[in-house]
Amino acid sequence: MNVEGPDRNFSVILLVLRRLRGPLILMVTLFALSVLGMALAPGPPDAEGRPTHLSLFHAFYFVSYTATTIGFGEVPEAFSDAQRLWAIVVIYLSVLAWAYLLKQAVTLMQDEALRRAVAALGFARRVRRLHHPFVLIAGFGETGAQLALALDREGIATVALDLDPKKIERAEMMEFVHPPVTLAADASDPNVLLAAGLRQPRCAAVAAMTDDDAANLAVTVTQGLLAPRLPTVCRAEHDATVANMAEFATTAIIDPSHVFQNDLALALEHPAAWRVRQILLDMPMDEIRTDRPPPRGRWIICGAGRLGLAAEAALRGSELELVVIDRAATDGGKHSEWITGDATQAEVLRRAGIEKAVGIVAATSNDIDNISILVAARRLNPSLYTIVRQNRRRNEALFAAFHYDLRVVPRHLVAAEALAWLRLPEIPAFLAWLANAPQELAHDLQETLLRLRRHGPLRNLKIAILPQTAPALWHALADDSGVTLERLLRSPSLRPEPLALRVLALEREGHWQPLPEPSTLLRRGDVLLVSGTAAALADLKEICGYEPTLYYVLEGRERPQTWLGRWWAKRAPEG
Amino acid sequence: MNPEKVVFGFFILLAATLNFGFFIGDIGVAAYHDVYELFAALVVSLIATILKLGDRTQIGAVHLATSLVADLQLITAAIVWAYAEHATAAGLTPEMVARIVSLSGGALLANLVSVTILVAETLMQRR
Repeated sequence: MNVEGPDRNFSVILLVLRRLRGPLILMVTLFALSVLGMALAPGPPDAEGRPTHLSLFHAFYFVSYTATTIGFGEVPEAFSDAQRLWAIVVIYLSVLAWAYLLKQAVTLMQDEALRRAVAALGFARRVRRLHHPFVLIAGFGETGAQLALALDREGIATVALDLDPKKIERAEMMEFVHPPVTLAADASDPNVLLAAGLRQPRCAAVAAMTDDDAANLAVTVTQGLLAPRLPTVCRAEHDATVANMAEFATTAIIDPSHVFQNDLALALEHPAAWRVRQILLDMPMDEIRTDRPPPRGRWIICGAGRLGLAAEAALRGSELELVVIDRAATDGGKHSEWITGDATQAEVLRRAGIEKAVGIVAATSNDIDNISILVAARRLNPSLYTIVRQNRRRNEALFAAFHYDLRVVPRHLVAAEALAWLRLPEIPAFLAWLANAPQELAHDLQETLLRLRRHGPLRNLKIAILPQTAPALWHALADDSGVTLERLLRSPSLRPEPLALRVLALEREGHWQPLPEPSTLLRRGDVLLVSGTAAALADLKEICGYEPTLYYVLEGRERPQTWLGRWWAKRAPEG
Repeated sequence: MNPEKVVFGFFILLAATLNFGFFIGDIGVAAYHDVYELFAALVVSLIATILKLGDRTQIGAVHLATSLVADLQLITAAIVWAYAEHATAAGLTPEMVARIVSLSGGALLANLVSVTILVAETLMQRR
């Protein structure tokens, strides 16, 4: 389906007209025949006994109101019987032709292909009319919808494609401030992506979020060739796809089970860094119900699907005792212990040594099974650390009412990760650094962020000290070289209180310096990556951009605004 | 031989010939310009237009455009005729006839372009 270009409107009209060509010609012919017959039929004789005739104009008038079944009663002259005879022919011919034309037109309107073409045209037009930067999301399943919602909350418009019209219709039921512009079409078709604005200047990023690796790869290839500069995040579930996608310089490739595996491994190995990650990526907090990190000891994994195996790999990396329970028999000897059976049965759990275990992962692809596994497990061993996988959005209420320690929602993982890459790629990079940083650093940062979060939800911001983004600070740094982070980051209303934010990293000449010291001197061209409350970030922007505020924050007094005031200030220095 | 081409060529030529038949003759004299011929020219021109709908080629687009021009001129001529004949006290004066005929002359030019394109297209065909 080619839906790009302004001439498409016209060609849909042409398509309609071409389908109606037969009925139209029939209509014109019968109309002409009727008019001609009316004009030729002898009318009542005039005073000299010669038959009169309806003029063509009068005949056309009569046929017009007869054929359209309006049946207007006004007749130019009284009719003769010859004219009446022809009028009967006119009525039956033209009314039938008219009805046939209408019927064909209505049939055409219901034609699936035509309706799709019209929908695609409307879609392309609405995309062209988007006046703000938008993110193009291919695949509006659970993950894509989650990402669209998260972007919407940040005030970013989205364009969403999905093969399944039902998923597209769901967008109307969700709580969007600005609903995405949607089309039910195959995102792996380059023309569809072009219609969705792939090459438009306002297209800010592409997210390939379908549950089909081949389609995601097709989106990546299309973007790589047609819009190579766009940031792109892709979901991939197979290693082969990941390798193929990597050829096309995508910003990030997200494999849900890898994300989960890394997340779980991080939680076990480096709980503070894991906690910081949860905060900075703004994961929904009801996914973690306890403050304790996953304990070390004997773990039971129920369900050996991709996520279950990812959990197994993460835990195996931490050298824990592992038992895997799955309905299917073992596929090889690589796992430490494998029990074939239904993990919802207490007897099977007992066989897996549930009494000695410290934690359990319910990772089957069935939500009800997962819940009943945990219920059965906790009855046998109440102190278990429980990790549960939620598959379906519709089971949200069940999980909200259920006690668990950690809930894994693959679509949340992917959406949070994708959002982080789309919003600020520096944050995932920082988190990657933090995962290998000393425990104390991560722990301090976790404490700081948790303290800041008491004032409100945290946001992340990148601000560069450049004339466009921080004019006041840029100018101040010209003659005042003593501006440190500590001096700068103070609240303009409660000075000398520090701003409720934390500098995560500072970029200077292309190098990132994570968690800079408060005494670090700032220079022109530096880039700050900070996390803080919305109010603190707004204050920071004002400090960087508005000179009187900057002056007050640095000096602790108002800057004399007038020439006289400045002269006085110079004459009588503070004392 | 392609029957579609026969029908197509037939209507385009017929539109031009009928138009020419109406147009030829002293411009102000009603006797040379039969209103039934105008009627026939208009109807055939409309059918020719419908036949040209939906052709996506460049030549098809020009065909459609010339046909629309001819329709517009002929419909205007018909309206002028109906107005002169029925809505004015003086009826079909020589001035009115001249207006109608000159409008149909414009349509004739468009129809001639149509025929030229048709001939050119046919000559270009190698099959």
